[in-house]
Amino acid sequence: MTRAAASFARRATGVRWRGKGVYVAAVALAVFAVLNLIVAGQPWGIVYGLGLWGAKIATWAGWDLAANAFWGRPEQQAQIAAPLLDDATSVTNLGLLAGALIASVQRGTFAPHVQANGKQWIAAVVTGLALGYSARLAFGCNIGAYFAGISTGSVHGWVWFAAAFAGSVAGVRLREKLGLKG
Amino acid sequence: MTMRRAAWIALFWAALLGLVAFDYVGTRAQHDGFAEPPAWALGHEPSGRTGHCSSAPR
Repeated sequence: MTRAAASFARRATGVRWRGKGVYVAAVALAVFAVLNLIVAGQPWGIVYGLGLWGAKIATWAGWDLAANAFWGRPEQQAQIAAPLLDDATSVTNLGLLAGALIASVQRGTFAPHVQANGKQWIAAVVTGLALGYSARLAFGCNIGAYFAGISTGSVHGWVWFAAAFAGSVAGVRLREKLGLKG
Repeated sequence: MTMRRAAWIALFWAALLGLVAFDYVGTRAQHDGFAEPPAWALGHEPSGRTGHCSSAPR
């Protein structure tokens, strides 16, 4: 059954599922996800850390977040005042960046030459902001809400999956219209 | 790897680690060394004051 599924996946998705790398990565992801749960007491997440970094930078710039509905709460104000390295999500985000850097340098894909027109740049910035903002509204991205949610038995991960699947269908069509295909 | 790419890598990490260092220097007084979370946090609730994407505002 597993061999048949792997064979189907290879035929259906082309080169991405070739070789043993994808299986090694899947097992490594599972092992590190469990370790994250054991050490941090919570599943792996990303978006909270990015929001915290933004809140810290806004505070350094003189923005008072005390009136903000989320960051104004005492727990979050304490989090902003505490060192970044006290926050497990921020620490794993730093590890994620380091891992991406090492992998992209090894594959020779670091800082690829990008050719895009004005419309494509604007589309990338606007959709990137929408992606980040909606990830906070959804209480997580494909890691904190989807991967962590489903792997820990939470129904909200499956709800996230259904919404993201519908959004992806629309997004792929929008990419074609904006000339971002490929 | 070209020198230009190496310079971009160095610039990115200098900026990122600089921000972490700047943050640490400005906030280390808030770190309570006597309130360290347990090394094995599972079953003890999330460690310390750490946050998670799915945490609702309390």
